[in-house]
Parts: sequence; structure tokens; C-alpha cells
Amino acid sequence: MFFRLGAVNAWRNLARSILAVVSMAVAAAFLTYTISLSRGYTREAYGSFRQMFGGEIVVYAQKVQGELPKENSVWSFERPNENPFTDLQVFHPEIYRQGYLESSNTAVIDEETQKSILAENGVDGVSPVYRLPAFTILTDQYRYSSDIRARDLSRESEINSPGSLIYSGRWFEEADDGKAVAVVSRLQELPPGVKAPEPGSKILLEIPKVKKDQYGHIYVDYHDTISKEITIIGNLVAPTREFAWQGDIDTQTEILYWWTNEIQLPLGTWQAIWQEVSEGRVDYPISQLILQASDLTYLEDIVLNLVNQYPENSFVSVPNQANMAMERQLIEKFLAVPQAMVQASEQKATQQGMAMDLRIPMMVLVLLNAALLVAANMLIMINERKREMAILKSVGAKRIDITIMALTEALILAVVGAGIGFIVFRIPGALNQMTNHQGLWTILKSVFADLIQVLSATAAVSLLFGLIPAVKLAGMSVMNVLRSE
Amino acid sequence: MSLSDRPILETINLNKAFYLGEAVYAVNNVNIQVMPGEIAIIVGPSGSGKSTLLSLLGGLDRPISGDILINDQSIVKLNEDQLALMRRKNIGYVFQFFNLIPHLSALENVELPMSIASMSRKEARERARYLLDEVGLTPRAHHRPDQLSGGEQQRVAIARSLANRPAVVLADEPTGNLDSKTRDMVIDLFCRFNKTERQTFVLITHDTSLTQYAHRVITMKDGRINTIEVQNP
Repeated sequence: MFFRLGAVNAWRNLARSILAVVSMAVAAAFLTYTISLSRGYTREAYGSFRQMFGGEIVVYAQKVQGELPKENSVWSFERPNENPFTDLQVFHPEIYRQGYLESSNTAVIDEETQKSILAENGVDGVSPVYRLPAFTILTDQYRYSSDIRARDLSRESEINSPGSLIYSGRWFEEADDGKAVAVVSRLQELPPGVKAPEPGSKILLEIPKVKKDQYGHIYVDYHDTISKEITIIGNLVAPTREFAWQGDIDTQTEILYWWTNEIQLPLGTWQAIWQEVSEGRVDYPISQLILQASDLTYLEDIVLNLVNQYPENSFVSVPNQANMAMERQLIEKFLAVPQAMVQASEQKATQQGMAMDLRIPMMVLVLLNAALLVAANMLIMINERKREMAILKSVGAKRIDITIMALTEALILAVVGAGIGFIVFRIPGALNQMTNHQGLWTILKSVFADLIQVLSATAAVSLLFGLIPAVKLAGMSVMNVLRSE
Repeated sequence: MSLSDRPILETINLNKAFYLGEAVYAVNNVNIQVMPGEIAIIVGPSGSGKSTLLSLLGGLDRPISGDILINDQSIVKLNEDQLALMRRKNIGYVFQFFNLIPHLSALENVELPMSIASMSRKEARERARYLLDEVGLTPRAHHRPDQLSGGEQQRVAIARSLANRPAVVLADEPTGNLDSKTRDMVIDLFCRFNKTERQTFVLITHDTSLTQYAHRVITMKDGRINTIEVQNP
């Protein structure tokens, strides 16, 4: 009865109702936008990172954070051995600090898990990462630690291949598979007299052999190596961001690059080297995967789903990995930026941990604004409804009945507004998902999940801020109202 | 003394004061009794405390002292929600300015107290139709208040006041806003429901000509009871 009266009352003063609906629609639109933003990315987001990684999601066999391992896993506080077959230590150096929890029996991602991951919603491709430690020898006196990374050309497309990041020379062609050719990052810092490996030049790789110990554990024997001469066919440069600082006269900037010691090889070439270093006795332990996900709109949703499905492994989206790498300056070289500035920046990054995310405070402010509008609207409503309240009370309505009637009115206006705001902002997202070939069920699920979040937040706000005016209305004296009317 | 000999409505030393710098007694030591099946009319000049007394009788206002008994049950110590339940069961209200819910039809306005009292929808609709028929408004059942004349609105209000078969219908200047012809029609309704259903009415009015229809005429002045006359209408 009182719900019905509240529902009718919501539209009795159309101008006021429209104002309330519009204000809530704006808040809901921003909320929808924020939710979408926290889950998805535009198609071009973190392009160079995605090209370098070769996909959108990184999977590690080990846990990145100290999470509770699944049953049969063992908690360990020991410093784990560095796994030379992943880039885990590059992007998550903190895991190698003592005291971090580490699940010790998840070093390999088996074939069954790979197939299973490929079947998950939103995952379009799974590429194992093939890596080997090595030393690059440029001169008799100058050598540096490297990783040999295989590139599977058959799985590459424009967006997950570093091909377009070539600075000089060229990227691989199919005919290169099996040949001793490589692409390396453009070296920016070298001692005097050492020539950078440029297209056409040759480098010597010293590659340790991979063996099994008496317990069947794989290890890398750095004392037993093979040598390979490789021809460089291209240099890569992967820009990451622009770093600005206040110089003596004006603001100066430097474009930063992903500096990697990786030697990129075609998969066939890499496999031949693996055969040689393992002497055909060790299967390559796949410890890292790269997943391709064509729909970036809901990338974090896809990641979240994987995290829940495979609790023994770590999943991180490339945009998240990129953010973390940039915040902690893990992969970039600073050349023009004064060293003191870099150190200060590093110090700051360490202290702050994470960059401030303004979306949450902005969302809270917008919702608070909408809430105040709801409250103001309700205060006006009290004036319009007090005669009705008096009539209802005179025929036996209780205070709770009047409160329900008033809150129903506030709730309906908020929910209608939120619905409009949601539809306006979410339909383009849903269309984008469709064009990214996501299944209808997946789209509906994500739209529904977002809708629930937006409606719950706006409904909660309207009820919370509508409650005091509603109670005030319910508590008014019938005689005072009727006498004053 | 049989039950019907007991007053259906009774006040004992009832006082209500407003504090405007000093206490002004709107109702001052009022003792009245209304017997079942009576029409009681309270008359008096403006400011004599009639409306305040009526709001006290209906539990819409609280006295500073004294007691009000409805069917021998005191209502002065009831809390707000208990008073609301008491009103649902025992009190029907008719106001001078009709006070219908503007966006509900005549039929829905009459159904309102029954819906609040959780009567089934079917039963409420049947009773509302019966009452509207009794007040001669069946053809206007689906009209909203703004589509009805003053007299028609007051007839709807009377039908609404009778919806839950209350012990007492309290009417505050029910004819104060009506022309003489409509006034007669409304008074006729009160008398008819009084005769056919033994409905008890307490009316307050300026219009002394209405006293001819009353079993009990209570005259108030300055918040006090001046005279109480019991008569055969």
C-alpha cells in the first residue's frame, strides 16, 4: 500500500522528479564509467608492453604474492631459487626478499592447465614463454648477463609482436626460423670502445647447460656452457612513457624506454639451442605463459576469473604489470634525467608503493554530491507530502508506514536515474564487447554484475540520505500540519 | 449497567494547554460522555477549544492531564504507533476541507483506511463500493477529488470515515465549507448512518442550527464546557 503510494508520489512533481533523476543519472554514469575503467582498457592501452610481452595477461607458475596456496602446497618462508625460465624476478623483485611467502611446488604449468586456461572465457590464445639464461659477449672484456627469449612467429599478430618496435634493421620473417639470427634491444650505455650490437653485426652467446640433479630437479650449470655465434638483424626500442622534471631553467622531459637484456630468437632457433644445452634429456619446464585476450574492455574481469579458477598460479594483466614496472622503475633506463632525480623518484616510489588512484575519491565525491541532492530533494518532498502524511496518519498509518512511503519515492527516483545513467554509459561498452567477439552470456554476465554494483550503490546512498528526511516527515504532528494547511 | 449503557467516548478532567509565554488552556478540565449510537454536537465560538478537543479525542494530539476513554480503554498513555492502531479500529475522521488524497480516485480514497488496516483487497473494494453507493456517488467512483464538487468530496470523506466501522466518527466542521443545500445533504447522511447503523458521531460546528439533529449538545467557551444538553432529535 505505502510502496504503491510512494511509487505514485515519485512522479507527482515532474520537474522535481526529473531533476532528481538527472542528478542520480550523472552520478550513476560516473560510477559505471569508473567500474568499467577499473576493469578494462582501450584497445591501444600499454601497446609497447603488450607487444614486448606478446599478449595481455602474464601467468606465472609461482605465486607472485604471499597468498594461501591450494591444498598440498607448502608454505615456505625461504628465499626461493631464482627461476631462470621466467621474468618473475624482473617484474616482481620483492618476491625474492626474505620473508615473502612462496608456494614451493608450482614451478611448472603443465599442458593440461594450459589447455584448460585456453578454454576460459576471454582467453583467445596461450603462448608458453621460452627463456634461457645466457651471457652476451661483445668483446673479450665486455660481457653482460642476458636471457634468450623465443618468439613463436605463428602466434604473433600486429598487437602482440614487437615487430613495429624495430628501431633499425628488421623483425623476424618465417624464413628466419631455425637460423642463427637475433633481435636485441638497442643498447644505450656501453663502455668506451665497445660497439653496440647493431643489425649485421655478430654477437657471441655463452649459454649454460641445463641438467637434472639426482632428485630429478632441473638446474642450470653455469660452469658448463656452450657458445653460439648469432647474427643481429634488428634493434628494438620500446617506448614506455615520458618523464618530466624541473630543470634549472624550465621543465625538461625524457622519453623512457623498456630496456631489456633479452636476445630475441625465432622459436625454431631457440628449440635447437635447448636441445643442445639440455642434451635432449630435459623437457623445457614451462614456468610462464602469455595469454592473448582480444577484449581489453574487461581484461581485469578475465584476470579475476583466472585468479579464482587457478589459485596455484599467478595472473597479472600486462597493464597492471606495466604500471608496477613503471612505478618501481624496474625496466627503464634513465639517461637524460639527473641521477639525483631518479634516486628521489625511486625513493618516493618505494615509500608510496602505489601511485594515487583518483578514481575512488572522485567516485565517492560524485556519489556524495548525488546523495546531498537526494537529501535536498527529500527535504522539498517533505513539504509537499506533509498534508498527505497527516491524512494517512489520521486514518491509522504508523510512522514506519510514512517512512516507507517517503523512502520508496526516493528509491524509485534514484534507481530510475541510476538505470538511465548506467544504460547511457554501459551500452557502448557492451557494443565494444560484441565487436570484440565476446559471447553473449559473458557480456550479459558482466553487464548484470555492473548493473548490480551501480544500483546497489545508488540505492544505498538514496536510502541513507533519504532516511532522516523520511523519519522527519513521519514524526510530524498531524494537528500542526492540518492547522497550518 | 449493561455495556450499551457505558459511554463509548468519555473524557475525565481533560486539559490541554499551549505555552505562549504563559500557559493558555485550550481545553480546561473537560468532562464529557458520548453514548453509543448518539450524535453529539460540540458548539462554541472560534477559539473555544472545540477543534483541540476533537484532536485529543482522536489521539492526534496529547493532553497535559486527564484521561480519554474509548470503549472504556484509556488512550492517553498509548505511544504513537499504538495510537495509530487505535485510530484504525475506533476512529473515523471527517475534516472541514475534506482532506482526500488528491491522486487517488473516490473509490481508492474510501479503500485507503481498509488497506491500511490490512483488509483483503476484494473485501475493501466491496465495502468501498457499498459506502459510495450509500452516499450516492457510485457514478463518481473513479473520479479524482479535483473532479468532484465540495459536497461530493465531503461525501467521499464521510464514506472513508465509515470504512473500518469505527466506534466513533469525529467530524471537524464538516459543513463549514459547504452551501446550505449540500450542508443538508451531508447532515442527512450523518443522520441516516446514525439510524441505520447506530453509528456514533461527534461533530464540532459553529452552526447552531445543526443542534436539532443531535442527541447531545455540548457547548464550549474558553476551553471549558458551558452546558451539556441531552435531547431527542
